[in-house]
Amino acid sequence: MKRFLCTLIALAAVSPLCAQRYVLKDGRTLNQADVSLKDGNLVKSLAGGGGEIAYPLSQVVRLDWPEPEELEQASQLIIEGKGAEAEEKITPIYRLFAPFSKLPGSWWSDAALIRSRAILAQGKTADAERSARELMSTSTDAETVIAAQLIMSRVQMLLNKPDIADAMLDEIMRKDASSEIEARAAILRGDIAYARKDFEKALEFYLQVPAFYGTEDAVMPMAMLGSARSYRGYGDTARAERAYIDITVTYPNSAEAEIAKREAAAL
Amino acid sequence: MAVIGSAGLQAQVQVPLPQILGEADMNIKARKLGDASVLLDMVLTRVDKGETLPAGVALENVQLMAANTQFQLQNFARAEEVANQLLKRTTTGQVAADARLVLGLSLALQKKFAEAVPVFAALEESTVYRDKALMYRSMAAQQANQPEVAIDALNRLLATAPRDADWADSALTLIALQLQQRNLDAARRGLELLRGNLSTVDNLAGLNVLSLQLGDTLLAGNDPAGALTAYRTVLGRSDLLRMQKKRTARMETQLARQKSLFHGSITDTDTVRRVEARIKATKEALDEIAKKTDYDATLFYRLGHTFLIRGGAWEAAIVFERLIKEFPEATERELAYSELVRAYADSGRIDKVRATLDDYMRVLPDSKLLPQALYVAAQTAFDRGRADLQLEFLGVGIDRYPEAELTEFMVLMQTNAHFAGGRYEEARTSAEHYLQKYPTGRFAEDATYLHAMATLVLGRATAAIKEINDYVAKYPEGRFVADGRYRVAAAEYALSDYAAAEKQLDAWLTDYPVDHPQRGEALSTQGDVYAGEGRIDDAIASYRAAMSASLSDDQLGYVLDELTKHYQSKRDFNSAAIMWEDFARERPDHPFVINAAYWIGRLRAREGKTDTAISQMGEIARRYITDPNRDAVERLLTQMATLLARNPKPGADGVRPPPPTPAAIASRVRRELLADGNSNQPTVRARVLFTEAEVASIRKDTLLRDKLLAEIGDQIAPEALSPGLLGRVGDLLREQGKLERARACYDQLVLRYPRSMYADFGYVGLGELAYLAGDYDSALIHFTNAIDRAGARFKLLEATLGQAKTLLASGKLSGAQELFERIASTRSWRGEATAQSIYSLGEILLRRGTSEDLAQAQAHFQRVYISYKKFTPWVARAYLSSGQTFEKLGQAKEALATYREMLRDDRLSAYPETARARERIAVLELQVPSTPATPVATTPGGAS
Repeated sequence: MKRFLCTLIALAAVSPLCAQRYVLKDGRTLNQADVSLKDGNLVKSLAGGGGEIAYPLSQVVRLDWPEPEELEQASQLIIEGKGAEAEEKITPIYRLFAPFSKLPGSWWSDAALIRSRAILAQGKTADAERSARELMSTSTDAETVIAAQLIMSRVQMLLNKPDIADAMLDEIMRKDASSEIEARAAILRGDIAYARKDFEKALEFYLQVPAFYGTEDAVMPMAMLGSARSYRGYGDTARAERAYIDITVTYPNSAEAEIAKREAAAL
Repeated sequence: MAVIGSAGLQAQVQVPLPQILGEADMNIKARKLGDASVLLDMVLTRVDKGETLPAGVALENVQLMAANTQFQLQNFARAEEVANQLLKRTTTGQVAADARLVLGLSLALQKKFAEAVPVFAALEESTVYRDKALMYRSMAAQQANQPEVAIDALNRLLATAPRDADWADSALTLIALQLQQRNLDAARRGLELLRGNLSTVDNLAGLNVLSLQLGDTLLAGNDPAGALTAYRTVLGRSDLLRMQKKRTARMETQLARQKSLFHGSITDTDTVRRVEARIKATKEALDEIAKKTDYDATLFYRLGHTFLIRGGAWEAAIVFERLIKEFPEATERELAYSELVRAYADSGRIDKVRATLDDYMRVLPDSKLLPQALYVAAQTAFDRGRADLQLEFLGVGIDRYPEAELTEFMVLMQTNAHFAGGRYEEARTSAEHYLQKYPTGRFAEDATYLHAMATLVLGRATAAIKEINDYVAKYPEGRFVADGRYRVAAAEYALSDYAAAEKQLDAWLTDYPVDHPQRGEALSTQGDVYAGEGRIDDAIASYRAAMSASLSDDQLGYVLDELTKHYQSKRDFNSAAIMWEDFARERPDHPFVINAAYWIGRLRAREGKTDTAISQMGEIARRYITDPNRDAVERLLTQMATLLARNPKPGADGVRPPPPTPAAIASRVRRELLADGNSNQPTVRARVLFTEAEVASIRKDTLLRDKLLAEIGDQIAPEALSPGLLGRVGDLLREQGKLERARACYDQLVLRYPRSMYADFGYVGLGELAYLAGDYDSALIHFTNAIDRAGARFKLLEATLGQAKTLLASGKLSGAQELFERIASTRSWRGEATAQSIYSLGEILLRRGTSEDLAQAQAHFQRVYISYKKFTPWVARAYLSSGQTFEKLGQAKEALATYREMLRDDRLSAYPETARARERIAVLELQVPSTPATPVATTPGGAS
């Protein structure tokens, strides 16, 4: 009777999934804390010094892993213009998931993309290109591949080859992409037009971000800085000043805020 | 054993209670809830009658089981009754909490919401049910029209509940309530919170609706910034459909899981019911959205409109352009067109205004909003100094919409525009049109006066005097009476009726106060009248009085020039010089300070005091010399250089001293321009070098000039240079092949001084660099910017030539031809550009390649080497192209003669074209036997 009553009134409780574990082909799981990676195997030590059991990595079919907090932290460091620190923060995660880059539940693609952006933020074009190529050949996520292609295009800009960057963008944007990618592409197009001193066209690209991708906070300061510079180039000092102020007020911790202050003072 | 047989209760025997309870348990497990409820009621009835329950079984547990079973059977009234009975006996503990849950839900499902609210409030004390109780209380309170209670419950729930789909649902409900209660800040915070936890939201369509509602409410409350934030969080149709489908699939999975884990609890039942309802609602919303192909149009319109209100004209234009392009049939299109015109107008892009209007009138010719758009466009064209477009817009507006409310404004604006553009006959016609159509209109006075002014400016002084007097009689208190009376005097002066003018001006100066804004002008005209009468001293007195009154810069310049002229006519150079010195001292920042320096130099030089003049100019230059933003300084330094470059006059002995050496000039320049501690300041160094370079230039020492300018380019950072120097130095560096240094100067010029009068140097320079690099797209943009953006004050020819040659290089022959023809036919551009243009026109024809084109091309090439011999680079090219054209036409003999003639011009020997001609001669001599080595034609035109 009591059991019946209990059953009647019990509430289903689902505990949060917070394990870090490898799921094997046969359904067994290995906790990350219990194993180490050795010679292409996950190795589990038996209790009491009774030896080790090795599980080949090929036996792992899936990872049950919560999102590593380093992803968010490194992304934030990039926004703040701290590319080197971001790279340092994300590289261990990138390495941790590298053996499982193509498995469901792996965070490798995310980590590799953030690492690539961190390298790019430091202006290390050759390394950025190498890491983007690695992503393009390894990642199974179409969105990440497009993001890597965008990095390749950005590298061309840094190498002062806007025409090649532009042609690459044409190719990239033929595919369906997320809002974030579209926003980043718009900024790159703005940069290309700005490099050509076509300030009107540059504004039309940069301002697509606040107009259509208003919730993409990670890229908004970049777009706003581009628009401020383009207004200045176009000869609209009042709008340039307002855009600079918007950056410093709305995104005070971004790398662009410092630049905005400096450039606004020189208006 | 079956407790209830087929014969029913009538046949029942007194079965022991434990047995009945066991049977009820089995029925519940077998989901035979009806049977179970009868048995449980039987137990409760017998207990009521005094029977005792088995040991270990509490009455409240049986009551709870009964209430639960009735609830599951949807016998909510009976469930309520049993739960109430339980709660009379037990008010604390888990059983009481369970009973309250049953009771609250039973009441709510019987629509007794107000009664349910306190039950759920009491249930909040249960740690197990706290979140559910808060959620149910908010729902019941909402239904009972107790929004404050609902908001309180939801706020408490959201503060602590785990962030899952239920949390997001509750947050959506809370936002809706806050909106309903007009707690806009709270609603905004709620939406921001949800956007930050978007993965928890199942009902994205609902979130979109709330965001739009919030935006609309904030916009109506004059908070466009808040509205924009709300609208910007709304998902577009494709994103919404994609994401909502994923969410719905997730909900369906959750529902299936929920059903598989079903334990028969009230909360399970309710959860299933709510998830099902949520899925149904989102599917319906999704279907509706999927049907609305122009779903995004309404969002885009709101976004664009709000950007526009907030001063984001550029962003608004981007959004409206997309709306019009992607949703050509949307109802928002008309408003979008109208506001797109305004957006382009507000961002000052008049050509885009025009293109949009053309499109708008073509697509929606009957739009009621068109007159307003045309009016806005005309106003913007005026603001941007595009009188041609202003008149075009006004003409269309007045002709196509004669009865529109704004047409009256437009006719007056048209009158003003004609007048301002110097089309006085048209201004008169337009004013007459206004007065005819709106004789008592709002602007009848303006039209009347403008008509009189147009008559006056057309030189019909007598008629104008009459019209002005008529105006003064009709509008004695009118806004233009003072001006009219002054104009009458000016007209009388124009008619040389000095007596009448003098009388009119005396009356004017008496009738209007000393601070009247036109007093200076009246005094200046009085000076003109006295000068006309030959009363020079009176004239000087009036002009000096005018200088003490307010005058525009133009009027001030006129008065200063007249005074200088009259002082010189009296040979009173000192008074004139003192006047300019006073001016320069009293108004150190006035643009005429440069004129002052010029006149001081000239007048003191007339007095033989060149040294004093140079020193005074140096004194003025030193005030501004450290500031690169003061680009007028270079004009002053150029004037100073003119004096410094002069040879000294003969001494008393009649012997002319030797001209100063460059070193002596450099020393003098430094003495005049350097002040304490500024000798190493980069801008000062650049200006000292520039002055020396100007002296060298005047003295025809081009080597020294270029050396000095190159020093500026090589040693001083572009950031320290004024716009004028950036342009000059950039050009020299480019000529010297120092392209990156040149680029830095041009970049600095267009980025830091885009509004400078020298900005066209920067754009043209960048265009030339891009052209050199073969980047024709960029080159064309730069050359076009030099004209459209910088106004091409100094570099119109270079910019036009740049556009033409870039178009030619990119194979756009028609565009190139048009520009080259324009250059070739402009008399003031006669020179090397003409030679280049004629040659290039020949090249265009050569590329087209028909026999007729080739003949015409030949004529162009011959014209170059006959008429423009001076410009040897083009002569060399023209000879070679002429020979090649003959070869294409199969005229080998003529080709050979042309090449040979080219070789006879020694000036061309070093050009690569000459080497090429030699090669062709060698080839052709094999084809054309015994060709005489003399020209075939007698004219200097070679084969022509």
